[in-house]
Amino acid sequence: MNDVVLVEDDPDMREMIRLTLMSESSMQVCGEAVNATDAIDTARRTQPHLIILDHSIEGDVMGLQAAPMLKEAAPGAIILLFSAYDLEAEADAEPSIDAYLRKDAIRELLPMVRRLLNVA
Amino acid sequence: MVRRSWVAEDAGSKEGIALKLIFEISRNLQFVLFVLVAVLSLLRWHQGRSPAQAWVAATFGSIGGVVLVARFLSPDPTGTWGDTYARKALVAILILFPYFLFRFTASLRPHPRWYHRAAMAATAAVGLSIFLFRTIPARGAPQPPGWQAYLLLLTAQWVVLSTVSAVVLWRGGDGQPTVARRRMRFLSLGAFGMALALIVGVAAPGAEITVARLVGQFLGLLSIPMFLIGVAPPSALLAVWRRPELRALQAAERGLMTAEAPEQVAAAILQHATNVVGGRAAILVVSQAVVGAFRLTDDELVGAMRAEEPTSEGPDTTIRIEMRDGFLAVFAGPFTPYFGRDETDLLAGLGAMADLALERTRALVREREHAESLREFVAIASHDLRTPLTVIKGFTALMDERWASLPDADKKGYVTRIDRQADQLSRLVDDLLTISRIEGRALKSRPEPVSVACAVEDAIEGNVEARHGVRVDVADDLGVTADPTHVQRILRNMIANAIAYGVPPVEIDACRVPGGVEIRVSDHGPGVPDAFVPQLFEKFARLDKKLSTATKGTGLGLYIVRGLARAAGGDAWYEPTGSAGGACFAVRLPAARVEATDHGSVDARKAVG
Repeated sequence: MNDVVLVEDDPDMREMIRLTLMSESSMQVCGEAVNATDAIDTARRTQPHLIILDHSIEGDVMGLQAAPMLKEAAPGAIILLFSAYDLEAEADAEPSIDAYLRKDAIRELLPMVRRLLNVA
Repeated sequence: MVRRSWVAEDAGSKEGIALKLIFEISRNLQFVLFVLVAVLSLLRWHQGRSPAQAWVAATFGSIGGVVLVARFLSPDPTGTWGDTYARKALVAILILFPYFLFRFTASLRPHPRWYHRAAMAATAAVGLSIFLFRTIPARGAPQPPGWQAYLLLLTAQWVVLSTVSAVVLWRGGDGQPTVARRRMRFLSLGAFGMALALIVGVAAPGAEITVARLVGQFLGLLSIPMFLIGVAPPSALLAVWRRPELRALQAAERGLMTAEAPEQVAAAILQHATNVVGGRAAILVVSQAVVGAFRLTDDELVGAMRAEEPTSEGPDTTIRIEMRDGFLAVFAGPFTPYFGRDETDLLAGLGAMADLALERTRALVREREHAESLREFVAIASHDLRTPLTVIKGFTALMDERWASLPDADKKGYVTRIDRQADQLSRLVDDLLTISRIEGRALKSRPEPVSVACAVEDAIEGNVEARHGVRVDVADDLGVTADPTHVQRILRNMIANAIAYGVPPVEIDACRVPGGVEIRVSDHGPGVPDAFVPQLFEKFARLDKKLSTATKGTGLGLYIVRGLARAAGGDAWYEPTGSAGGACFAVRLPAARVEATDHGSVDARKAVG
């Protein structure tokens, strides 16, 4: 079973992602957070396989800045930056981020997560 | 008179006649030139009254007066009382020439005090002692020893004072711009020439026209054009002399054309500005900050910042060229105010061009900032449009795929979410449309009386976060005349702004003012930083424009507030609140009469849009 942490401040979007992941039985959402501090706590506690991270989250620390701290809290986690901003270049430049997907390509989310977690 | 002097002298040989002719021509020329230089220096003084101008006018005015009056006296003393006293008075006034010249140079660069005292004492002594003589010996007549001694004294006074002035002027010319340097050198040569002419004249006292007398005459004659050029140089000469300075100015102008930052403006002009007036150092101050200094020490930097008016303190004259948002100051030498007036004007021209260049750099910065905000806005707007669209698309796809298997309760929940996101999307699109209407002056407005209390209540109702923690203090009988949907928009944006950026509790109050009603929305947050206040109501204004910061929003809210308020004939502004410490946003709208507590009569619940 692959544990996933969702870091997303929009409840509708969080629900959307959760529902998308639910169709894959080998995955479970083990934690959710709306800001960087909670996200780091959750990651440290649950040591997930995957963190789906939004950039525009609550609080002073944005997703891009939170990524290295999340990686430090859960070194085994793959971090997927999932944002409505065009942040491909920024994500590429940030070593702690393993993949980036723009939100309007939500149909790509499940295939990408499968690929990242090597789920058949 | 001229002819009589010819006849009186021996005109035997041809050479004698030629010498006399030359002598007379040069004497007449000398007369004309002296009067000319006197008139010009008096005119200059009349145009620009300064101590230096006054001393120049006194110097040349006195000598011009002497030659003019002497013209009406007979060539030789008549021996009458009037003639004798007139001659004595003329000599006494003539004595003042080197003294006035000395005072002129001293007015530019002060001498030690004892110099002044000695000069004044010597001049007074020589000037007054002429009255001790009963008569003035005629040219060629025997000179008593007392008179000879007096002539020696007079020559010494003249030569010493003229030499001091000439040396000051000559040496002062070093490092001056071309025009000033040459004017000073010419004046210096003129003073030397006059002194030499006097020496030769005293040494050759005979009545006959000798070569020595002619040389003296020529020296005197030559020195006047020198004075003339020094005092009032012809414009053709100025144009030629000024070429190096004009070239420097052109170089500065070229630098200004490409300058993109205040520092580049400073780099382009400071050295040239200094050289144009033969200054020692220069400084450019913009927005009360030094953006560039040329050859200036730290102490002088502090002094320069304080310099308010061009002052002449000590050996320096600060030429200060005012600009829209700062000034250019050049530390010039003591001779600049008199000899460098035209150069100072050139400097003022350069200052004006630098001012324009600075304005351009400011415009460039604004343009870049605007382009940057536009880019940020596009990024934020795309994000804000994409987010609800993604959710809508996601839930519809989900329902499409699993329609049969989904419980009804879930379907209902998904539809609610889709609806909420569609509202969000609709608000953003509304904002964008409103902005384009405000800017295109195509805002559709249907003004009608709106109860402020009702409108505030509705605005709070429309904002989930505002339902708690907003204190309202609005009298029921306050009304405004505006489009109700616009009033809603204004209030909702102001409330949303206070909730997003301020600290609760948010307070809303309204009061009647002449010509309208003012509604204030204030909070208890840290307030708006002073530097950001001027941009608050601008488009895309967000305190921190970087995507990497946590501040959300497109930065259109307050822009729309002001646009709608102004369209209704009112305005919107920011007030730093006193007691609460937080931010206060105020809007004024035209007043209207409404029924107290009759909320139902005002339909402020129309859809926003």
